[in-house]
Formats: sequence, structure tokens, C-alpha cells
Amino acid sequence: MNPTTKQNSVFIGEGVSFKGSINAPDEAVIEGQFDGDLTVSSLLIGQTGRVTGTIKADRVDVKGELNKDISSRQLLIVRSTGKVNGTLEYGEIEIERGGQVRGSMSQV
Amino acid sequence: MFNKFKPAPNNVPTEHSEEAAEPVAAEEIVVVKDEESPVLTPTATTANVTPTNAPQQRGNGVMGMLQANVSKPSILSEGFYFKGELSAKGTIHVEGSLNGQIQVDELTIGSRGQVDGIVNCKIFHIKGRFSGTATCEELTVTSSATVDGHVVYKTLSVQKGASIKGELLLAK
Repeated sequence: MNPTTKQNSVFIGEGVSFKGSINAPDEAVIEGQFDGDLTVSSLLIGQTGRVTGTIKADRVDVKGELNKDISSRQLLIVRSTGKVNGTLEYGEIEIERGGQVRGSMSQV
Repeated sequence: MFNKFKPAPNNVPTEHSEEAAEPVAAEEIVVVKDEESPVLTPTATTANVTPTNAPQQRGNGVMGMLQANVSKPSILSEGFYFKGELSAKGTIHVEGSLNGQIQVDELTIGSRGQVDGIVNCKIFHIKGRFSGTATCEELTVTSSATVDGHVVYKTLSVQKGASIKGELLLAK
């Protein structure tokens, strides 16, 4: 399935750099670079993806890099290739072996 | 055996009967030995093995999978409360309560265990509660764990359901 065709969703491909704010009711898949505010239901950061800014999401799945203020109300998954830096707020957390997390954490 | 005996007397009865008699005798001896040995060995083995096996099984029961590790862990069992400074080589498994400064190779906080203080170790497994400051190389936080504090690690894995408050830092 091509993620670009999904409704209420946004896809930022590899090599694309985006600055600004995004509000997507459904899903955001980021393979490129994102700088700014992101409010989304489900956030997926691919291996090449880098997200910096204030992120608010229900579910976050990190295979790439995620920086700054992160709020994942339900589940935050950091995969083995994932890197998370900053302030973390989460409902549930799962970190695969090899995943890197730096920062202060608190549970919602 | 009897089938071989019967054709044998037809050709050369005397030789074969003698030859046949010898193996039979030998076999009988073997059979007797076989019969005796199982009778003797089970009693000997059961008498010898059961007491040696029992502590091992007990050890496995308490430690479960940890027994697979090279060194035997020291266990602070449930209800045990320790306050102070603790230093050890090898493994410590905590089911009780530990308060203070701990330096050890491998520390495991069991699901009923509680550790509060400064921990310095290589491998750190948390199934129970931890609060304080920890410096370790390999950190594993299981789903039943509650972590509150400051943890410096090199490799990290957290199971879904674990509760972590405070700071996680990556050592360089």
C-alpha cells in the first residue's frame, strides 16, 4: 500500500526536508527531515527519518531519530535503530535492545 | 539361537555343539551380569543421585533461568532488608529490599524486589522497583518494573508495560 494515498495522513519521503507545523488526524510517516510542531494520531519515523520539535501523538514508532519534546499518550516504541533525545511523556513505552534514549521521562 | 543350534548338529555335531555351548555360557554370564547390574545400579544410583540432585533442583527452582549464568548468584530473598554499602563480584538477585550503595557485576531486581540507592554494575535487570541512580552497561527493564531515577546505560531494552520516570542517559 502506498502511504501517500492514505486519507488524513501525511508522508514525507526520504530526502525531503520540511519546516513548519503539521496537524494530521490520522497518520504521519516521516522518512525525511521534519522540523517543527507535529500533532498526529500515529507517528511513524522511518530509519532515514529525523524529527525535531514538539510532537504530540497517540502512538509513536521510532526507527530513526526523534528530538525535543515528545508526548506519546498511548504507546511509544523505540526500535533497535531508533534514537530519542529530549523530554519524553508516554503512556506505555517499549524500547528494543539497541534503541537509544536520552532524556527525562515521565508517565502520563 | 535355537535355530542355529539345530542345523549345526547336522554338519559336524560335536564341534558345533561345543562351540555353541561356549557362547551360550558366555551369553548366560553376560545376561546374569546385565540382570544383576540393573538391580544393583538403580539402588546405588537412586541412593546416591537423589540427595545430590535435590539441592540442584532446589537451586534451579529459586533461580530459574539465572542458573545458566556462570557464577552462582547471591540471593537476598523476600522479607530481607538491607541498608548500607554492598560490594560483590558476580551476581546479586534481590527479592527483598536493598537500600544504599551497591557495586556488583550483575544485579537483578526480582519482581518483588526493591532497590533504592546508587547502583554500579555491568548488567542490570529490573523486574521490580528501582529508585535512585544507576550506572550500568546493559540495562533490561521488564514489563513489571518501575524505575524512578537516573540511569546511565550503554545498551538498553525496555519491555512494553514498564514504567520509567526520571532520566535515561546514554554513556559514551
